[in-house]
Amino acid sequence: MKTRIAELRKQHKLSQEELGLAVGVTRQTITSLEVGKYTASLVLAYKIAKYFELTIEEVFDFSDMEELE
Amino acid sequence: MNAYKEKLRTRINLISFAAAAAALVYVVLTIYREQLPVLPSFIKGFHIGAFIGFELFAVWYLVRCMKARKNEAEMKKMFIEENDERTGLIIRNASTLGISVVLIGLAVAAIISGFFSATVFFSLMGSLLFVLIVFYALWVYYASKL
Repeated sequence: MKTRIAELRKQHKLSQEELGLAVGVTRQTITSLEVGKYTASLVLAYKIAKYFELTIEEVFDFSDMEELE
Repeated sequence: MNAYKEKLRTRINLISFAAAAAALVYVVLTIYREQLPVLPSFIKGFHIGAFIGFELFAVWYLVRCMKARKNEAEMKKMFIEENDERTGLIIRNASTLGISVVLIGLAVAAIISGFFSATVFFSLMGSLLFVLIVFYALWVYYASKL
């Protein structure tokens, strides 16, 4: 799944480690999310979106899933 | 984090107990070694290696838990490492594939060994049954829990 995590993280001048610590996951998980290898759980998606003060849809791109419907 | 701190304390107590119990069992078995059946040197070596390995692991893990309990940042890092959802998914996927490989491997090995040795056949069948029972029991447990 495509996300805006890398872009938002850079805007906020955060490292992957720092974002991971803030939302309770490891740096490797943030890396996997950024490259689209791993899809976040609803709870993690909520935490990340809340951290950046955005909605889940503004951070995560659900267009691939909508195409499947 | 307080709940996790308590969890670490329980873990420290349990590992200390297990390490002490393993040392006690090993010392008792060593003292009474002459009354036990004579074993090939490889098995003795394996016992020593397993015991030393376990004790070293216990000490390493105890030090890690104790350090984490004293340092909030270290404790949070340890908590995240243990509860990371991607790691959980990796473990679940590896376990699912692993159990399938183990079950199929044991079944095939049991069938083949049946042509050569009854002892090996029954040992493998026993192992296969044990794994199946544990797997089914855990399946029932989680089916009722989730």
